[in-house]
Amino acid sequence: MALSNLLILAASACNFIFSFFAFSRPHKTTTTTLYAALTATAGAWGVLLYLFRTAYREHAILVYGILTYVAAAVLALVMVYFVYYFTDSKQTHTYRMYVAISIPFIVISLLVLIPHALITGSSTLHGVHALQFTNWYVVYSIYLVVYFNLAFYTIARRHRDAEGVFRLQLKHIFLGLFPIATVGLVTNLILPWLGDFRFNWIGPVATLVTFSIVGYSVFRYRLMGMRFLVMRFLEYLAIAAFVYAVFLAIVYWQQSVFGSVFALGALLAGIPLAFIFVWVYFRVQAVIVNVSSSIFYATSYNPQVVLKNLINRITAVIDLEELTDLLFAEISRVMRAEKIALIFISQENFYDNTTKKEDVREHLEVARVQGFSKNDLHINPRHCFMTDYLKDNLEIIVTDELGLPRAGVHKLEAELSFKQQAEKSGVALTLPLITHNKLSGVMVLGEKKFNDAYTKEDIDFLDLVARQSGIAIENARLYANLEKEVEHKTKVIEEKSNHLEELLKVKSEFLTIASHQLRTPTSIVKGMLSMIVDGSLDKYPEKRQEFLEKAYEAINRLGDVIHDLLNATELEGGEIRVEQQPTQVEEIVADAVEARQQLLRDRNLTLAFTKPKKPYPPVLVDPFKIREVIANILDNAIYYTLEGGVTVTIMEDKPTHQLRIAVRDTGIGIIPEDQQHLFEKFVRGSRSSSIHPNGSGLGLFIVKKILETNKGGLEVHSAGTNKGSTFTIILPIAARA
Amino acid sequence: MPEKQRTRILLVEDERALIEMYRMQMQSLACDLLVAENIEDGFARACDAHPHIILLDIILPKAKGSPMTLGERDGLDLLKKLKTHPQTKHIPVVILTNLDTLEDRRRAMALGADAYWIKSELLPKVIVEKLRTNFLLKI
Repeated sequence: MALSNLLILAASACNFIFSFFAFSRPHKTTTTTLYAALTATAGAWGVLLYLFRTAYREHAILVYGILTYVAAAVLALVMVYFVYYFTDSKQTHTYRMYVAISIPFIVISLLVLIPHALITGSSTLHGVHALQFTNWYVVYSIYLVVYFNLAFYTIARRHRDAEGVFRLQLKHIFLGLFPIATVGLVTNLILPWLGDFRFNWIGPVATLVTFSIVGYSVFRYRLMGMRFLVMRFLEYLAIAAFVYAVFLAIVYWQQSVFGSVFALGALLAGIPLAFIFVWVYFRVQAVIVNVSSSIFYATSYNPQVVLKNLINRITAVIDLEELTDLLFAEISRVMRAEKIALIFISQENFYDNTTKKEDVREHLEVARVQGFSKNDLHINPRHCFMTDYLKDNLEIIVTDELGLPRAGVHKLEAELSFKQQAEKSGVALTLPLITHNKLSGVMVLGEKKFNDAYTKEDIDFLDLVARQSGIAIENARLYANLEKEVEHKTKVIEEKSNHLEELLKVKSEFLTIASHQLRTPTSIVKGMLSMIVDGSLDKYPEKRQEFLEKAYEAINRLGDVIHDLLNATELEGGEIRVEQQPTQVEEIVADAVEARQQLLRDRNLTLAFTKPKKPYPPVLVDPFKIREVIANILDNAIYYTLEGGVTVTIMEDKPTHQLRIAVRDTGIGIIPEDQQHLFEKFVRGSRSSSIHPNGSGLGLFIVKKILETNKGGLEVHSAGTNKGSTFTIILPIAARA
Repeated sequence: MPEKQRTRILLVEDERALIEMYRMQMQSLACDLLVAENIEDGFARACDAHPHIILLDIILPKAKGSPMTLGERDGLDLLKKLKTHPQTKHIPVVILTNLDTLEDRRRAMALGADAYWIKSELLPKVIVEKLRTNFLLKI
């Protein structure tokens, strides 16, 4: 059998296989049915052509010839149907259009079928079967050409405003129709008109190429770039040719040298040859792939090179801003995507009001947006439709592919809902950024420029980029966090350091004042005693006595100052050991009053305090410290009263569980301005030096501190100058055990 | 010696015992000891009594009856005032205090003090001696 006829049969068989495949799909659509019809027609045409070429009897030749031409007309018609339907996504094509298209077909078919209208007879020349035509052949030709052009035009027009995958599909179909349109028309339409029927076997083979491409674009959801397909096909062809050539060469050599391929010598010689072949094969394959890449991808992006370059640059950047800039720039350049958005997912601590404890929740933030407006994407800090969906499927989501029946798809509803939102937002591609197997971010891409679709290479490329970016972004964020942390810690350290400086200053000031306070009585003692000793006061004996007394006073004062200073420094820390125990406060008051009887007599003052018959409830205080407090307050009352007296009363304040000891005097009083500063260190009332020159200024400060640490308090009331004052000591009553 | 020629020493000090001490020391000397017990009085006396020298404490009440906070160096304010006021700037001022920090010393000297003496280190008669030698007072 001639090779050409074999080819025709093989092509037809393939076409029938395509048809069967299309027709037996579980989800039948009109598109697939039409495709099945198309390929079936092509197969039939091929078979008829075969029969035409191989028939014996002249009558048979004629009949098969006629049927072949009818089949060709059917093919053209079905092709137009297919294209019309496929491009009619808006469903504007009416029934009438299809009917209108069918009419010329019917006319032409009749033309062919009516004896001698188109085809007048058959003949055989040198084994090649031929037909004779009338001039009506022109009309037939016009019909075929017009219908093909109609198909092309419809596709081209639709392609203009098509988007995404659909657009790509149309492109594939357009290009796919080319072989049969050009080659087939020449070999099966024009040449026969000119009398040459030798090449009509090419027609069916051309249909095979055409319908392979068309079928691919109809049934594959993620189309590879056309260029890529062709390149791959040619690579295979080149490699296959190489292998076949080598095989033939070896066989020829073995047969000529050893007589047979299976001769022992041949078998042994074959072994090293096999090794050499493998080595050569890989080299040749690499060369072929490189050459084809450089030919086909000269102007487009080479994924490997761009990827390597990009990854190098990504891993070199640690600054988050820079990294995002880089990613956006590269992706929008390479993918020609106009809209890109980058969303980060982080964990944040928050206080959960329902479980009443600290918890962790996710926080979304849009790191960068280009082309989209934030509102488009409907992102709120807790979630967005993209992250919700991605959580269940950590892989790239191509919006176009969603909702189509695929194996392994369970949640069709979720898919369709996502698709709807994605389409509304203008999201074509959703890329998860994954670190530690968790979703750490999402990169979202809008449509490519010119509404191109994302090809499989694009998606593979983006997948790799997303993975690398996920890691790089995580690093950059950790680094940024670290920087923030360091900044914060530095600030804290600075603050602490400043605080320490402050404290040191205060301490040094305290020491200065303390030493001043110690020096003052010292200078008095020293000066006065020296004057007595060196005889300066010999002429003033009464002054001698006076100075001795004053020196004595000064020494006492020195003692007081030392005592107060020690107390104050001890209390300053605030965290001293306090030995609190239930204490009968009236005992302490009674003791203090008793000890001052002489002082009162000296100053001619009265002190009224009646010790109660029934003991008061004990207070929970440190008795020694409280003793000091009462002594201090009593002293103040006595020293600052020139005439009259002091009254001490104790009262129980049941609601607040406190005991109030009021010390009222008829003394010089305290003016309001002084009352503010009374408890500060080293502050003395404005008139106090004239009355009580020995005061250290620390007394009330110490009193206040002691009361604070014993969970008590102090109140001061004074009506004004010379109107006396009342100091009230407040102490907590010990809780009954 | 006629009244006008007697050396007038203005002491600005609030500690009564010390005032008494210095008064007794200078009792038998040919000088008049003028005393002011607060800043306000101090300045007033300096202006109207034309002392030949001023002995100035640092920690003083501002005026009669105002509170005295031990942390404030009102005396240095008075020093500044004395050294800038036309009526008093020619009068030598000796700081006589128990505050012994480098900072206070520097400040006082910067403000124009002519000396900085620590009370507790100097006996009254030593003070008198220093007044004679350092300031050539005829007392």
